[in-house]
Amino acid sequence: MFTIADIGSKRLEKVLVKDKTEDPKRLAEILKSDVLNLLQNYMEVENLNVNFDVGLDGYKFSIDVEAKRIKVFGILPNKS
Amino acid sequence: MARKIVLTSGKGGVGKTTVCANLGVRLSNLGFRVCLVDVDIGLNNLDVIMGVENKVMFDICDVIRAKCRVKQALIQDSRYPSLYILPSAHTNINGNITGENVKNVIDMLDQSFDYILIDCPAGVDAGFHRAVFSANEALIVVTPHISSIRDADKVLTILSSYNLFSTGLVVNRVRGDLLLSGDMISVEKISELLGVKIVGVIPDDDEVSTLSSLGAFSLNSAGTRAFSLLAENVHNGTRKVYDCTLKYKGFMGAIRRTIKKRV
Repeated sequence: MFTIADIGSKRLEKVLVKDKTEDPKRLAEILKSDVLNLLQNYMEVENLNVNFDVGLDGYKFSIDVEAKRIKVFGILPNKS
Repeated sequence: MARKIVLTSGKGGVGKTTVCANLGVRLSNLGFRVCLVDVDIGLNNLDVIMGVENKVMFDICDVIRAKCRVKQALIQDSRYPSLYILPSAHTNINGNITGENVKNVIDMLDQSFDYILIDCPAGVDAGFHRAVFSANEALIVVTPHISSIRDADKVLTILSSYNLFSTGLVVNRVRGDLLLSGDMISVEKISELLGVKIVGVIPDDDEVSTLSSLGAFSLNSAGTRAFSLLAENVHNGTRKVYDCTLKYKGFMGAIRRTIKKRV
């Protein structure tokens, strides 16, 4: 049997996660544009998706990139 | 150099000023030089909670406007000689005061105190930023209610953009009888949901609220013991928290619970 505290905790958990999903949507758009700019130095990007998952532990961002070809190695910056 | 701790919450009425005043008293009892700074401009209450409202000559806004020196605005508590209060203005002149202004005043106090406790206004607007700007640590005061915890979570998100050394949680007005009957969210659960360590648990103590109306502090109540543990945790970094359920355990505790429920 659930106590009032259990029900309250579950409700609160849902509210907190819902509150946290608003900001990442905007962040994902900004990230997408920044990452695209960066990746275009190295490859011809066909498709780029920034996905996020929100939980009480925090955020998980994942980036899927499809590229047609990688740019010539000679133009890549040297590893320092 | 003083430790500058802001007491904030987001939601109003959770007991920020009461926690600030009582923590100040307990830290001064431990022998530290403590200054309580009221940054709640226009809605100042720290002076009445401390019982020094009749001694206010100048306030933090007068210091900022160079109408007086910071030492002239400080009020020494006659009961606790190492405890000082820097009151806030009773009129709303918010627009002219910036976080930088408040920081300059707090920096003036830096060498004279071990602890500077900053009482933050409710909300997350300009007043909040003004208070947090000068601090290097934060204590989030919450009550075990959904609205308070939700607001605290939003405050934590905003605080993450400040370069604070540490953030701790003070759960205020905890009722041991409701915890035992499963009618109140536990402090451990609140800490888990917010992802912040608990620094203090303060019971819902009639004596604390009654005496605050008189500008006085209890010497031997459950609240006093809880504030003493909070002060020790703040100073030593320990995690000893007051057990609010203790009074309601066992045979006598069951009777107390029954009486409280019926009343």
